[in-house]
Amino acid sequence: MIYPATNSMLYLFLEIITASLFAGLLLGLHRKVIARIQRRPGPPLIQYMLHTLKFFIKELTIPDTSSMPLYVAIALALAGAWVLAFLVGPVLLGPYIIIIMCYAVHKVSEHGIGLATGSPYAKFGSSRAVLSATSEMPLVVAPALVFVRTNSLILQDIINYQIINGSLVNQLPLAALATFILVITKTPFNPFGIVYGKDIISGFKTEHFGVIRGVLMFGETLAFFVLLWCFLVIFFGGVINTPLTILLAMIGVTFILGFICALTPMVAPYHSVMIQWIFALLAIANVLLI
Amino acid sequence: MSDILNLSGSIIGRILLADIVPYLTPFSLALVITILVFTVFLTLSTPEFRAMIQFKKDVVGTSTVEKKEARFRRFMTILCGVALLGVVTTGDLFNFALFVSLVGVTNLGIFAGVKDSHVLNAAFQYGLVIMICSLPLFGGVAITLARTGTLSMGVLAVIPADPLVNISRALLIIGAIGEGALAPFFATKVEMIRAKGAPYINMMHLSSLMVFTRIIEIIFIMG
Repeated sequence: MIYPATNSMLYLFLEIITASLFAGLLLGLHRKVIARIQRRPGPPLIQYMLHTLKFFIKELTIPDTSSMPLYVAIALALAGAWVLAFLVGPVLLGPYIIIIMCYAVHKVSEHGIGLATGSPYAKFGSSRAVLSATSEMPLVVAPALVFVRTNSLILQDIINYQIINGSLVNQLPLAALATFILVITKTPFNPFGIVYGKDIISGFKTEHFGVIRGVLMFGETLAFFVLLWCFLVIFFGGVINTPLTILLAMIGVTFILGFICALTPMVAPYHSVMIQWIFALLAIANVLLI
Repeated sequence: MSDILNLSGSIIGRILLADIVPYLTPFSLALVITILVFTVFLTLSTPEFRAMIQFKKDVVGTSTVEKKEARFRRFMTILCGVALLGVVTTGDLFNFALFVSLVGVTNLGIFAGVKDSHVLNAAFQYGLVIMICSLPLFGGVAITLARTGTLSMGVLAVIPADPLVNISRALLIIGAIGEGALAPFFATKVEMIRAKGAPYINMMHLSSLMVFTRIIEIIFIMG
């Protein structure tokens, strides 16, 4: 557990902000690792954070063609879903199934954000978001296997199980791998990032500027933090269960993600779906083998 | 109830109605709030103006949904939201199957008003899928009732699964993914979302994923 649970709204707000800033630093580190592998100096570590903050003070423009208030509300929904996931996960150690629901809202929001603008470029991105939603089987398969093993999807129970019986990564290595693939998909420049492919400009976000873009980036930063945290706590909870170990592990995994993103090209949309399904099926095979 | 507690958190409230017990957990509360919020802002939203483009030319015009069409599709969107609320709050397997079927029908209704032959063809295919998938959906419910003597999720949670119940779980999954146009039945959905009317299309995507999230919980409960 990283954050103590509290009834103070101000403290909760600070927790959300610090998590977002820390995840921003991690994503900066991720970009730095990619740059160093490609023999470039790369941007400073705080670049991703500055990039997000920059949008909060930029002029807000809303396309005349957009569907209102969907154009604004759907971006808030994406950020709101990950705030909820953060509170249920790292703060309260509550039901993991709510985080799965937040992920589903994220996919719905990606779709809606692209459609709401009326722009054909954004629509390409949103169509790919629908396609990629079909590929995220690891999101369901991994928790199912964890439930079969621990008989609970409450994060506190999963951690307690691992403290007694050892980390789940030893019992369900392929389920851990499938979840890791899911974390990769939420990392910038990842091989499965068909939604953000440069061939479709900025994907579903092409027509979003100013504070709305800032809110979107804040939501995505928090999504990276929550998914990384869930991966570490659910599969390495026997060892990684204190604030310091979690933070160190997050930095370590970000390094690995940097290497993966730097060394793998973006795959074609249908290959992206196929590869993620293969990893989900491998995770199921893991249970049959044990 | 232990499986429900281990999956979705503590019971916040329930209505004791024989063995049919609608209940509210933190998970179902989160689903209810999400569906309510989305239904409200999708209903209030005006359809977008879709930019029509041609290669090597700048934007050549915009088009949007006609008022009469928008009114009907908005009504279907609201109905879909109401059906989704039933899906996520019910504590009875038969009611769940009924509400999921209603979600399928309203999704079809959202696209039935579109005047585009590609979209209507895809909607027709989707109609066939939801009709076919109602068989495994209600078949799964019937097998569960025949085997366990109850359809209450609270009671099912304490009954150990056997091969027949596992078959009914598999049938329920097939039924739900068909009604929700999820993979591998999503091919028609990709064609349907070519239609104009972002708020209404978004409701279809929301309903698919909410049904999917709920069926995961139910499948675990029946274990």
